[in-house]
Amino acid sequence: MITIIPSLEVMKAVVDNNISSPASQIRRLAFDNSTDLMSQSGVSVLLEGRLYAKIKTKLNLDQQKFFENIYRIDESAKDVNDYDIIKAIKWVAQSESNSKKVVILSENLTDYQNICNKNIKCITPASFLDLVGQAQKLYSMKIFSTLDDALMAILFIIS
Amino acid sequence: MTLKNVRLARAENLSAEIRKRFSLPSQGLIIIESLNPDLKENFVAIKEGGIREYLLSKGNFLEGEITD
Repeated sequence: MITIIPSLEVMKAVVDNNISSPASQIRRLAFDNSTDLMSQSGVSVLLEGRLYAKIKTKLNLDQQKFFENIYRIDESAKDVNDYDIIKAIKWVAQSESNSKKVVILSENLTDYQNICNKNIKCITPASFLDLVGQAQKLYSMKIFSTLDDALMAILFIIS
Repeated sequence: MTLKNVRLARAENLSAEIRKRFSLPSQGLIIIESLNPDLKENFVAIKEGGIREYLLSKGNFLEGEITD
């Protein structure tokens, strides 16, 4: 099973108002793709609690309901002193990686470099779209029997 | 009507009757909304605008800037 954790810049591209750049478009597509994978496979999307508190300020009640019903919101690092969103995502990712494979979606890979290992991959939204496309192609060609297997191979073994 | 719950589904897994009733495509991501107080379900296809477009269908994002 794979858990996808988007970083703040990815979520800003989804809910902020000034987001017309090509890079923002890629980030939105990566988030859409992550949500789409949830409906096709065992993938889940986890929003770190501090991050969600930031984007929640932009959401009305129906929009909050959508996020809180669809995505896992992990508040384990919410009130920890001296933790910013990056530290909190790193802590949650390491904890999550004890039971799942974890993908952190971020443009700033150096922020997460020191926690990447065989269970935690840090990749850019553009790379994520490319790799997921490869996995979907291999699955449609029946090289893998499930999309989960294809994603696991492409994201954690081959790449 | 108030949005009470939301689920994800695939159009290809829904019945032809539901697809026809809600004008859904034959494939793709679908959001199932549970609404009340007149309890009912609504099925919404996610189109090219993605999740952002769906969220905006519920109203504009609130003012203010998200800071790091």
